[in-house]
Parts: sequence; structure tokens; C-alpha cells
Amino acid sequence: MDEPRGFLRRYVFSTDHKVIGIQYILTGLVMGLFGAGLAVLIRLQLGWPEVPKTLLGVWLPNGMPGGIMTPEFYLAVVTMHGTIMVFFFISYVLVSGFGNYLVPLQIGAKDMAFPLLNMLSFWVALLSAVVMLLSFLVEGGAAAAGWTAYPPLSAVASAVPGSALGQSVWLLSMALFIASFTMSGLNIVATVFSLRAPGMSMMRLPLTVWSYFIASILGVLAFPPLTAAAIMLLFDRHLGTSFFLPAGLVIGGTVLPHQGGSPLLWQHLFWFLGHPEVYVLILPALGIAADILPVFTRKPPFGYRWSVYSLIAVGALSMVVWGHHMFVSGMSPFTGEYFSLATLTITVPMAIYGVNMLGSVWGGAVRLTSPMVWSLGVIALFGSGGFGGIYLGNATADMQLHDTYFVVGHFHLMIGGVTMFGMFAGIYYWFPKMFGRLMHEGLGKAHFWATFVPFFMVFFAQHFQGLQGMPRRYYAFSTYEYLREAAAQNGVISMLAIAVVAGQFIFLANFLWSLFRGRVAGEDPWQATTLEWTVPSPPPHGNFVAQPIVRRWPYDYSVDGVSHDYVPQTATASEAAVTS
Amino acid sequence: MTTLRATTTTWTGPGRIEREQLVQFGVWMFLATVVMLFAAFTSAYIVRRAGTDWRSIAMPSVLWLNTIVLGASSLAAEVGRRAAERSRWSAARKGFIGAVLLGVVFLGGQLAGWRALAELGVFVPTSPQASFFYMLTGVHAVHLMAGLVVLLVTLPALRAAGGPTLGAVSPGVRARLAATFWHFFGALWVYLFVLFAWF
Amino acid sequence: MTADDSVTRSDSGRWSAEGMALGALFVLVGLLGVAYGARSWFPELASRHGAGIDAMLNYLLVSTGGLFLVGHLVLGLFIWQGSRRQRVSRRSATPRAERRLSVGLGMLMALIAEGGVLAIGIPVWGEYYMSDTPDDAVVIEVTGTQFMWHARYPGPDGQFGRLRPELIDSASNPIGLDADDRRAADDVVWTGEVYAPVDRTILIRLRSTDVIHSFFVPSLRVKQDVVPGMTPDVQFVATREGRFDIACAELCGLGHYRMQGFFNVVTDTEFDRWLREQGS
Repeated sequence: MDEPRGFLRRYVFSTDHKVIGIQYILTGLVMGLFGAGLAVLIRLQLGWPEVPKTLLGVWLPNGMPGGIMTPEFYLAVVTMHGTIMVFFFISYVLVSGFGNYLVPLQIGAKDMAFPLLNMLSFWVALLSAVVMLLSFLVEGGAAAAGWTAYPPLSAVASAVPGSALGQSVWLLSMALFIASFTMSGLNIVATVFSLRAPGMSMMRLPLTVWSYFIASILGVLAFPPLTAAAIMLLFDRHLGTSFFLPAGLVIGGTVLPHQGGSPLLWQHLFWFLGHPEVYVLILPALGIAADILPVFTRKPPFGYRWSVYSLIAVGALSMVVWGHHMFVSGMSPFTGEYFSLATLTITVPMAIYGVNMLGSVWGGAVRLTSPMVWSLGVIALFGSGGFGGIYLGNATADMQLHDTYFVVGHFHLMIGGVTMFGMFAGIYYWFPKMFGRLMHEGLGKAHFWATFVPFFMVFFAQHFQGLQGMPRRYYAFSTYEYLREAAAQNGVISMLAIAVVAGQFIFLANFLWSLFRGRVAGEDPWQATTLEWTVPSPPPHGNFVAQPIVRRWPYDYSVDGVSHDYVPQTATASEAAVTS
Repeated sequence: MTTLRATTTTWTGPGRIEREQLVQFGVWMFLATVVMLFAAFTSAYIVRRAGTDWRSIAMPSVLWLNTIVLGASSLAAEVGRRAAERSRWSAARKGFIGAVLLGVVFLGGQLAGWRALAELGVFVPTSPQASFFYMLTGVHAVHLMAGLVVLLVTLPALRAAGGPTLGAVSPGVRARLAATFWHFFGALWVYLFVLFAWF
Repeated sequence: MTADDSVTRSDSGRWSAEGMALGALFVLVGLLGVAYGARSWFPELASRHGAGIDAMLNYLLVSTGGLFLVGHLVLGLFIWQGSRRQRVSRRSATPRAERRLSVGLGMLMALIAEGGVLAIGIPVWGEYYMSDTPDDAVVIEVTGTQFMWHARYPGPDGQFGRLRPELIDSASNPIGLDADDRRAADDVVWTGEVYAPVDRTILIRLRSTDVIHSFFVPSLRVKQDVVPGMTPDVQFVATREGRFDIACAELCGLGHYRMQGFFNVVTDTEFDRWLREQGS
């Protein structure tokens, strides 16, 4: 493998998985910042609907004339916040970013299976993000039918302004995203399958690699149906077909010529993707947290084998439970109960995994570094938000909770919180490997406290707004008598939510400061065992000079009779014993 | 801590056999995504078919001819693959060129099929089956064009020296993978045709 | 030992302030979380099957609340103890013990989840979706349009008149009632308000003329998506008189947030009188 020369080949059009991983991470962080800005707009509106935000009115004269947000802009902001956070922030940073960076390093490969495809995947991903952002500028504004884009709302231009050109741009961007994500996922699966170093059996893989392996298989199998649905929706929008549009629709005073289509068909196709997709996002965070815990408790993870089985079981089950998003959609009540019972079987593997993470802390010599406190945050959020799934998977309870703030609170704790905390744990943990310098510990922990406390309060409280019957995607609640109390909580929730966003500037400062001023890390600053810590930080092009030979599982911490409390995966029996 | 690292001779990454298996694995994974895509379309087709406004449209007769042409194209690719695996490069190239030409004829034939339908007054929105027909033949044609590109990119490699290499995969294996693609999209067409003509 | 030891090994066998703070954080999350959730949050209850839904929710609040509390106390305790530990005290239980513990607890949680569905959920679900309709049930058709609810009563003939989408006019004929149909003459259409009698079965036939809406009456514990092209029925018994908010629970466009209606539950005699007045 020749090292590429020249700035462009090295850092821009690179096929090196590490560069591509970092490119994904940076792109995702920028998109995340943008999505957080949209969250602030949402919370400003919900917290103080009547107060003019004059300054914002100057910046956004169309969306917020006089500082008061219009309902159409609100819906566009909500839709784009969801889309950006799910697909362009968490997917890019956590799944594609860390996936690209870590998988080859942790399995002892020189690069991904298909480096060129990998580069292509990143550039398509970037294009997709740019197209999505540009959709704010088209006539009618960005898509406004929610990130779920249910037709007819998303199919008929006159149904909502965002369904003019904005929705088509949204679909185009999603098509690009899917193409890119498929390339990236295929690459990860093939890499794990074929490029493991000698001795790296499947049951010696770190849980991180397992989680990426399962998440990528899910992504590769679940995304094509969304492509099919997107093509059909584009046909309905522009070529007059009736896949999703039934007869007799009257929108904006005109009778539409469509016949016989089924809006529910979209929901089935969408959630066939959409539900596995949330596991695509959350599994890597769980894998990363489970891998960081042993390093900072200095003991092997609790129940490794069953954690692996749980990841596999969750992956398989996630493909057959999509209907729990549709309990009150008008599906047959029998089907509803099937989906309810099937969904709740996911409790078994997820609870096993949660107990195993908790057990990993048990009896350990806990070292509270920044990656560790963020991983502990993952356990706490997983052990809070996870229970919400038991309510929502229960069809009877869901009748009251469907499409209320209970759902909003639940998924923000899970695919917002668990993923984000896992992502930050990963950044604090692998930053020294990526850039050769440690991040600042004090700032890292300040960032944790400034994020965890308000974050948890915001989304925990939203569960109870949901129990009060507060529907989601509302621009204002002022006229509803039964929501008087729930709406009054919005001011405090908004302040806390804005505090979460403000707390992220600690991270930004830490990131930039540590890039240049952080303490030099060396090969293995955490005294960890996995393969990436046996190479220099940052690793050279091609990662490993010599073929690594794997001789043990990744969690040999505090082994009896060994002088060090950790043994790298590559160490031979004699090397492990003689180290002093 | 340097003692804890195993060292062997300088390592250049996976060898040729490993790379070939890898590429094969990648091709089959990609085909799996295509299967999922068309599985989704098929389930949509079955759901939509239950609608009260479903009316079958008569398939233009040119499709039968197209099917034969695509079958012949697949056959040519197969001849090319076998020749390539026995290192008979000239025959291999001829087979692949034949497959490409017949593939282009097929695409032309599909276009003729669309025109035949349009002349009968059957357009994209006319009936649900017509919508599916235009959409799925279109999506299939896009995949087929990708298959043509694969065949064309493989062509220059079909020579003794191996021609321009792609990830150090041998010409014989490349011919096999290109043929796999091509057969798969041929079979996909037969599947779609059966779906449209009898379901 | 490397120069970075100070980063990872700051423990000294003494209580670490940071460990205590972090342990306390998670303990507080558990305690305050349960305290916050312990009060009753539901909107006032006004339907018969709603009591079953509340029972379901209460069961979940109690059971998962307990697990939530225990989980966070344990996490806090582990951190609190672990942060002053210099050496690992429990490197790992035997694989068998680990398996027993995690699989056992996993099964227990699944039992709580599935058991709730089987014991409480399915009977309520069945009552709501599969009860027979008694002869004296009041049949009301409710149509969702962007952004209004319209109630229609069949009138004395007991039959709904024909609807034609091309007749829809948002001001004069919001649901497209066909005046040429004899059965339509006595139909009563009201916008924004639904009237229904207390303690009698109410059958609501839902329709939408444009996009997906969702008929949500929080106090009645009723929520049903209204997908255009489908006419789902919901059936329930209101147990209390009152004027309850109707909200839309599926994003339907700009006015989604103001697609408000009122569900008036009145006595039988008031209801009959009201209906007669409208008909004349």
C-alpha cells in the first residue's frame, strides 16, 4: 500500500478509512450543530409562542416575520430537525464515521474491503447533506410532512407548503443518503466478514465491531424498501400515479384524480425500514459503551457472549415488529396484538444487554475519565428510555400515548440520548487515537454534567406531558383546556433544552483546544487491549506495519498471575507473563 | 510497552485469493440489496392489486421477443465466462461483446414495449398495473444499464496480461462476477415479466 | 507503566468526591424520577374502556417505575463503591453465574412487559375493538378535513345520505352532502362540535376527505387515525357529562395544532331534544 502524496489525495479525496471516518465525523458534527440550532427554534416557539424573537425575525424574515414563527416554518423546522438528527448527525458520526474509523483497526485490517467504494460513499453522503440543506431555499420551503413523510400530506403539493418542491428535494436527498449508506454498510459487513486478522475469531471481536456488523447488515437489508417507497412517492407526486393516494381526495378545494391507492402502504414500507433504522443507530452506541466500561473498570465485561447473542437477536427481531408504529392506524386489531407481543419480546435481549452493562460496573475499579462518565450516562439513559418502549410496544397503552410527547420523550432518550452519549464517549475515548492528543479531562466532565442533567430533565418531563395527552408536532397549545398545565411546563423545558445546546459549546472548545494543545497521547493512553492501541496515534497509512496475530479475546483485564492489569490482544502467553 | 507487540515481516494486506473472495462477497451482498428492493416493490404490488380499481393490462407482444433477446444475451455472457476461465481470451471478448449488444437491443425493445402501450392509450397513471409496469421496467432498465457498464468495464481486462487491474482480481474471476451480475438481472426480468403477465 | 498513569489511575482507596457526586447523580435520577412520576398525570377520565387503559398505564408506571428506581440505585451504588476501589474485587462471576443473572433478569422484564399485555392489555383491547354494537347505539359520522372536525347524524330515517367529493365546498358543504339523495335531506351536519349521550354506546364512523388525521379525545381515551380511503369505526361508552377537547393526533398540515373540536357528552333527554331541534 503506497502512501498517497499531496494534500488533496491525502486529506480530501482519500481512500484511507481513517480519513474517511474523520470526514464523516466532522460532516456529521456540523450537521448536528445545525440540527441543534433547529431544536432551539422549535423550543423558542413552544416555550414562548407569543413573545417576538426580534433578532431572529431579522435573520429569518420569511420564516419568522416580526420574530413570530409561522406554522409552515415551524413544521419545516420540525421535519428537518428530525431528518438531520437521525440521518445526517447520528448516522454520519456514529455509524459511518466511527464504523469506518474503528472496524479495520479493531479487527487488524489495513483498510476497508472496498476503499474506493468507501470514498465514493462519503462524497455521495456529503452531496446528500448539502441537497437536504438546500431544500430550505426552494419555493415553499423545506419538506414539512414530518421525517416520516406520510402521504397524502407529503404527496400533494397543495396539502402543505413544504410539499411543493421541498418534499421532492427531501426524497432526492434521501435517495442519495440511502445509496451512500448502502455502500458504507456493505463495506463494513464485507470487512468484518473477510478481513479479520489471523486469530480474530468472531467470538474474539470487541462488542463495538459486533454492533457495527449487526447494524450494517440491518441497514443494507432495510434501506432498499425505503428506496422503493421513495420512488413510488415520487411517481405519485410527479407522474400522476395512485400508489398511495385513494379516490375522492379534495385538497385545497380541488378534487384530485387519483384512484384506489393506499396511504397505509407507505407506512408499512417506511416502518419496515424505519424500525430497523433505530437499531442501526442505537446498537453502535451500545457497543461502544460496553467496550469502554471494561477499560475503566479494569475487568472483563459482564456476560460478553450473551451480549453478542442479544445484539444478533435484536437485529433479527427488529425486522418483524415495524407495525408497532401503526397500532391506531386502522390495521386489524389482531395484527396489532401480534405486533405488540412480538415487539415486547425485544425486551429479553435488550434487558440482557442492559443488565450486562450494569454488571460490567459491578465490582470494578472504576476510573472516572471522560469516556467513562459518558458511558455511564449511556447506561442511565438506556435504563430510563428503554422502559418507555414497554409502554409504546403495548398496544393498549399506545392507544393513549401514540403521537404524544411520550413518544417524543422516549425516542429522544433512546435514539437521541443513548446514541449521542455513546457518540461522545467514543469521541473522548478515540480522539487520542485519531489526533494523537488527549482531550481535556475537566472540560470533558463539565460537558457531561452540562449535558446530562438538563437533557434528562427535558425528555423525562416530556413523557409526562405525553401522559397528559399532549400531541406532538403542534405549533401551539394555547386553546386546549385539558393541556393548560402541560403547556405551562413548556417554558421550563425550553430553557433546559436550550441549556443542553449551550453545553455543547464546551465540547466544541475542548475539541479545538485539544487538537492543538491537548496532552500528547502515545500509543495506548488508556491501557486498553484492543488492536487499535498497538499502533501509533494517529495510525500510519495502512494501519499495521506487520500483520497482527490475535491471541486472546479483547478483555483480558486484571488477569491473575500477570503483572500488568491488562494484556493486549496480540500478546503471546510469554509476553503477557513477562511484562513488568 | 513496546514488548507487547508481535512483529513479523512487513505486511502488504490481503492476498489475491482473499481479495477475490472479498469482491465476490461484495457482489452477492449488493445483489441482496437488489432482492430487498424488488421484494418491497412486489409486496406493494400485491397490496395494491387487492384494490377495487385494479385492471390487468395486456402485455405488448414485443416483450416476448425481448425476453428471448435477453436470454440470448445471458447465454453469450455465459459463453464468454467459460472461455475466460479457460483463458481463451478472444472467445471471451466475443461472448461479452455479444452480451452487450443483445443487452442494448433488449433495452430498445423495452422502449418499443412502452411505445406500444402508449399507442393503446395506456400511460403511467392510466391504471395501477400500468403504473407498476412503467415504474418497475424503468427501475429494472436502470439496473440493467449498470450491468452493461460492468460488462464494458470487464471487457478490456479479458486478455492474457489481465489488462488494467481492479483490486488485483484475476480476469477469469472478473468475467465470472460480471456474468453473475448479468444473469441476475436477466432472471430479474423473467421474474417481473411473470409477475406482470400472470399476476 | 507509562507516563499517562495519572490520567487513568487517580484512585487512592479513599472516597473520591467525583465518584460520590456521580453516584449521587444517578441515585437522584432514580429517586426524583419516581417522585415526579408518582402523581396522577392523566386527563380526567370519562369513558368506560378508558378505565382499563388507565389500569394498563398504571400497571406500567408502577412496574417499570420500580425497575427504573432499582436500576439507578444500583448504578449509583456501583459507581460510588467502584470509584474508591484500587483493585478489581469481582473480576467476573463465572460465565454460568453471569448468564443466570442477566438472562434471568431479562426474562423477568419480558414477563412484566408481556404479562401486562396478556393480563390487562388484551381484554381492554378486545372490549374496545370487538364489542357488539347494541341496538340503541348512537351512530355518528365524524369527518376530518384540513383543519376541522364535522359531525353528521343520520336524522329520523336512520340513514346517512350520499356524499360526493366534487360537491365539497369548505364554506357551505364541508363534507360534500348530495342534496339529490332523499336520505340526505334529514342529515344533520355540525362543524366543530359533537353531541353524544352519556352511558349509551356511541359508534363513531370516521372519514377523511384529504390527508390523514387522527381523532383523539384524551378524556375518553379514544384515538383512531383517519386514513383517507378507509372508514374506521370506534365504539365506546362515555360515563360522564362534560365538554371535552377533540385534538388531531396525526400531522395534517399547517393548521394541525388548531384542528380542535369539542365532544359534548349530555344526558339522554338533552341529546334527543338537541337532535330534534337540529332536524326541524
